[in-house]
Amino acid sequence: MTKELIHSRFSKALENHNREEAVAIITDALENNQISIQTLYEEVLTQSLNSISSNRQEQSMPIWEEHLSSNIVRTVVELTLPYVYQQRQQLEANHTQPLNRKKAVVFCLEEEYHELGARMTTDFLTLLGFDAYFIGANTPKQEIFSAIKHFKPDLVCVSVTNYFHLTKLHRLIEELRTIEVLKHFTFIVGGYAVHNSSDVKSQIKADYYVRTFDDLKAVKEAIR
Amino acid sequence: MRLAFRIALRFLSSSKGQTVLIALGIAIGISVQIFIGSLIEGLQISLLDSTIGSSPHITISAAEKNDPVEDYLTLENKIDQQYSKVSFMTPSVSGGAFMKTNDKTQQILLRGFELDLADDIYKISDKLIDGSMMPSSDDEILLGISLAEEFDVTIGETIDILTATGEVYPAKVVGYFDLKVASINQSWIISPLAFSQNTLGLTTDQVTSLEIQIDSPFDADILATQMLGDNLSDQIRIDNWKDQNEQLLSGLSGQSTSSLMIQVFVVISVVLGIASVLAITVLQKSRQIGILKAMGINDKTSSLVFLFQGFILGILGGILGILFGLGLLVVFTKFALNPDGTPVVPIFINMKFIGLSGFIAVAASTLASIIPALKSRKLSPIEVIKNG
Amino acid sequence: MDNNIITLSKVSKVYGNQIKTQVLFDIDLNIKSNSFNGIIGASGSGKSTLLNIIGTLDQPTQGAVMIDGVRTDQMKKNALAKLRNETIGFIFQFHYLLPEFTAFENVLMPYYIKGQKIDKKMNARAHELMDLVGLSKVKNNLAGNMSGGQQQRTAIARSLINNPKLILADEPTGNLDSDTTEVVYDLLRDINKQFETTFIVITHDRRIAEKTDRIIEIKDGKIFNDFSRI
Repeated sequence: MTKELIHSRFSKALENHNREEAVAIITDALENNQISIQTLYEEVLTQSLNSISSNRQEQSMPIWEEHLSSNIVRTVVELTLPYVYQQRQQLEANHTQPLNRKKAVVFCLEEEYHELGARMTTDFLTLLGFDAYFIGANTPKQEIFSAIKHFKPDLVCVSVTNYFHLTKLHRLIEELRTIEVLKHFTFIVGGYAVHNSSDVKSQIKADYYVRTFDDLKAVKEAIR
Repeated sequence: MRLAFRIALRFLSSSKGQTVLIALGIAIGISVQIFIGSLIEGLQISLLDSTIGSSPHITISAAEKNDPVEDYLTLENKIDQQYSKVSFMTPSVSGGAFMKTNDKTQQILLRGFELDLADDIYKISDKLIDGSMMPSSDDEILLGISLAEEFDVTIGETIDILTATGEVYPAKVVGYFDLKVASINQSWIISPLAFSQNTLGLTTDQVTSLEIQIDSPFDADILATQMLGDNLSDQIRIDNWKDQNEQLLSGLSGQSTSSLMIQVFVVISVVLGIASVLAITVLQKSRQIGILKAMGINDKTSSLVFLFQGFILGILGGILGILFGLGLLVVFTKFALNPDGTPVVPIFINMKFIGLSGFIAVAASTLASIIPALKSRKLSPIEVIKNG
Repeated sequence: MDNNIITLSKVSKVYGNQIKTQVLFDIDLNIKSNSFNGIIGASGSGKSTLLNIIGTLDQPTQGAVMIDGVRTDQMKKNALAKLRNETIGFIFQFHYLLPEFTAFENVLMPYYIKGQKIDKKMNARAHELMDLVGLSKVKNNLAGNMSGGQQQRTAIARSLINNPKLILADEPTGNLDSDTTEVVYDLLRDINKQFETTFIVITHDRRIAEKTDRIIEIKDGKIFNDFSRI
């Protein structure tokens, strides 16, 4: 099956709220090595998500339906986990040097509930060889601090979907940078709000702004 | 303007209890003012009436003492023509003489008048004792009641009037009078003008004095001065009751002054009371005013709201006050009675005065609301919002 | 062509005579017509002061304020009152209705203040607005005789009666329960779309913030963040 076929069949299943069918299509494709995680996430799942997202100004779908669809996608993502590790193994099969896995912590800010993007980023980071820890959506500030202190990650990734939270993000980054012990990490941000709002880069002093798997790859190279 | 009035009306009607209370406050003040004012006025009038209601206000006599006034008819005409304020005028021939009955002789004061003219001034016919009549012919006289009793003269009896020179003029007593003044009742004998002229040796165009009543007694001195200035004759002197009753006058004016003072202070206390209450309403309504200003009402309109409140309260309080005041007066006339059933103080209800009191109520209230109105100018919407 | 309905240049505000407190520092801000803007900030950050200055309820200590093409920092009291009445609508956290008047009268109050007679057309408009905010049944209730949500909705209708170009709202749903808040913020957005009114809403409610096109954060008297949807 081509990715286009997978996409169209998957989208159809989503439209029909057919969870079983949706999962079967994807696991089938993965099992048969018809699609990579990157392609699956970016060109099938994300595309399907965008078409149902209520980030658009005109809401054409009721919220319950949106939740239903995104939860099907979520189920799919969780079920791809073994394939993520499988693909990582394949990618790292040719490494001779000892693997010095860097750590990454991924989360959404307090009151931000759109976590699918963050969840997929976690898998991408895993693919790229990180030990990626997904703390979840709606993470209060103190928990963020606490988690970072605990993991002492090399990479901190935040996904922001609602542009209203960008101000929180700004403040978070400012505060994190003042804490001595937390100073030595790279801060990357992504999500709908980051790429669809004005003057983000000039106001949020993040290290990198990412959209795609390739962006993440570039960051990995940069912090090596 | 219209909006300010509407808001004022609504503010007042939405707190009926407070509005009624304020109106009552004004009403009580105004009713006291009306009551006191009318009472004192009534007192003055009855006092004046009993004192000089039945006596001349202006007396014209000869400049030279003991001389008669010559050519009095010409003088009378002149006065008639020139002075519209004169209400009544009588010539008078007066002089000392003696009264003689069979066993007694006593000095009396003979007073001769044009009796129908004199009656307008002295109201003799109202003061005749039962059984008396006014003299109809030149030799008929009236005796003061005390004189009559002392001499034990009966009506119809003839007595003799003796002059200082010893001439005897008999006269028939046709009645007794009681002019309510003891000294008059003890010494006066009233006769037609001709009789006195004859007895006292005056000619028909001579009189002792011209006695005048005017329509407003308190202007007697002014008119007298005017008459003197008009030089009616160079042989006369002009006296008025005011110059001759200084103590009475000072008493009356003292009374007027105290009445006025009471009224003024009552009104002042009303104004102060209302002003302080309205100042509180400004505070009470400060939030509403702030909101209105936030919505764009200007300072002028917002302060007009309070002026209108004062105005409306003044009208309400004024009407109530007039009603209460009149009520008080009516009750007073019904319950404060003399033994003979007449009111202790006859009340004089002057519609102009009452109207003035009503006007004062409105003016005082509106005045009282000036300071609250000015205060409201300072209210800013921002304070309300911050403290809201 | 400047389609900014509000322009603030170097606006500062200092309070107090003897002890001076500076609340706003050199604020530069442009607001576009027809936009739906949110302002957020901690209490004491100066956001309410900023809104009050924009609304001419307060004057800046320094700087220029231009509303709908006129310099308001230089205007006299009466002219400002007129501007407020005709061009700006206010919705506060507290409804600030006049308790002595009915809901319907409260809605018409800004029009009464404008000084014109109420004709059939205006009457109809007031009814329309009350229907728009869902208060058809309580039109003749005295302002104090309604629920908090109804009072706030009356205040919203009131802010619209003179068809203002600008509506300023300071935590309009702050005192309301969750359900009414939903209704209110949908209403505000609808009004923005239907009447092309510019909105500036101070809020800490995520749900309102999500509906805005632009979010400005005030911190310590300065603009800390300014994000717009693209």
